[in-house]
Amino acid sequence: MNCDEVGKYVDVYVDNEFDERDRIELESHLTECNGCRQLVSRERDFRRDLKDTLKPIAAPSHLRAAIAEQLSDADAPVTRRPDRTLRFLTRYVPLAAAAALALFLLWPPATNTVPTTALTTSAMATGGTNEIPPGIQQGVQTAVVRVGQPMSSGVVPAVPRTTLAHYSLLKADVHGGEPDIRRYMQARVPFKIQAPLTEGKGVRLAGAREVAEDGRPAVLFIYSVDGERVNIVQSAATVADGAAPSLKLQRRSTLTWGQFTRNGIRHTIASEMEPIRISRLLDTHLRR
Amino acid sequence: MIFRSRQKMKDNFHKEALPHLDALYYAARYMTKDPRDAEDLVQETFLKAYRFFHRYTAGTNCKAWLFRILTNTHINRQRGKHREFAYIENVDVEGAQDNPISETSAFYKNPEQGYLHGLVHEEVKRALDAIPDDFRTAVVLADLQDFSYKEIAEIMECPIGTVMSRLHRGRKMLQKRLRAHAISQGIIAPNDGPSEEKVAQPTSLDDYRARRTASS
Repeated sequence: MNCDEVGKYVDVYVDNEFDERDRIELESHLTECNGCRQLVSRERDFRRDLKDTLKPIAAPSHLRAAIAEQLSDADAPVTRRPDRTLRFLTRYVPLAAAAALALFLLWPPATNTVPTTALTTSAMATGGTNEIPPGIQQGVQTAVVRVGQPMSSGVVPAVPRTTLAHYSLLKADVHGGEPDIRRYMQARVPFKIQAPLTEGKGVRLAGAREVAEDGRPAVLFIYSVDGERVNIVQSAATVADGAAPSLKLQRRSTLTWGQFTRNGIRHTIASEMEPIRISRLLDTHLRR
Repeated sequence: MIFRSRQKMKDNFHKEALPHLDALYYAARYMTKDPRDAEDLVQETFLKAYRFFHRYTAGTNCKAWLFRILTNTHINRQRGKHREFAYIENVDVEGAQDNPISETSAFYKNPEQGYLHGLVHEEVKRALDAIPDDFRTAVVLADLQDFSYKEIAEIMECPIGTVMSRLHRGRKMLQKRLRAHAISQGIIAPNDGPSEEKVAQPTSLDDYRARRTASS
């Protein structure tokens, strides 16, 4: 082996990828060539220093906990493709009571003055949530607390209630294909609606529901994105909403939400998905 | 891998995959520019790995399999970087302040050695961030994780020759940046240490072996 060849293969040698014969040939050259010895030792030093400097970092405990939690309540590993809809429903049934309460808060808006405690039962009845398991009362209270939680400054006032609706996983009034859902909903609201996301690649319109947001008629579109729920509420934008077509996503606890206006329609989006995944979803699937 | 029960699959996943969490996070921290991205990346990796664990063949290299998912996920995430929808962080994020990096590394012990000595973690990290993704990933896999060329080829789904050239070019870019930085900081003089060596990058040993065979 000559100096040029050592120069060319020094990486392979230092990375211990040489076979025995190549290694012996290179090392015999090193015994008689000071320049190549220095080259090899520089390369060795570089790798060692790099590793010394960029020391191993242990996963933070909150990440470890998040992954453990994610696995413990993750859907079963996909061995045979389970029924998406069924999975979707069973996963969220425990939150049905919260859904009922949210429904009451949102629709009809005029009844919001009724004291919250009185609402609970009637809301549950209104929501028709027969499958509420025992112990759900607690779930409702949790949801109530969420409403009262102070939001950080700069938050659009409409959002807390909308957020609750999203978080509480209202059920769809209507299922079916996108054109059918759109036709059904279009007959019920005074603005021109369009399903906000295009379907495909794990994105599916699971259903829609007629709701009210800030007292305005609105449509809640429920999407299933890789098995996770994403809610988008559309309502007619007012001057106060501005015309900003861009979105600032915010994360609070496990919920991500944000609001943007596009083509005169205000969109409020909320999901438990991480912000980065939602922004990616909007980039790829928002209907132009 | 066929499991008789879901529980058995879960147990196996905990036994085989979870022990690699630290290694994946470590690599993710240097593959991404932001600790939050690293966390999201690792979390997404584990969820995918869990969902597709039935595709993993028992007894094979689980760490490499996980790194393949990590690398693919990272690439997919990078593709969506130019976003119209920015994610603005405005709420309390735990963990952002944890700084496990000690700056009193072996760096200072042998100041007469390479130009890397005297540069601290942040400077090296910045230099690493500045090189293109594929090169950075190859360097992280080889130099921080000690994967072999063959394993890296499998993880990055490319030929071994590509691994060799990515590693070579990645390290050269890194060395060049660090050297320039060391000079600008007065750690080394411009004419200290090795000059820019102009060598052909290795992509395989075939030509060398062919020449050897011909001459012997």
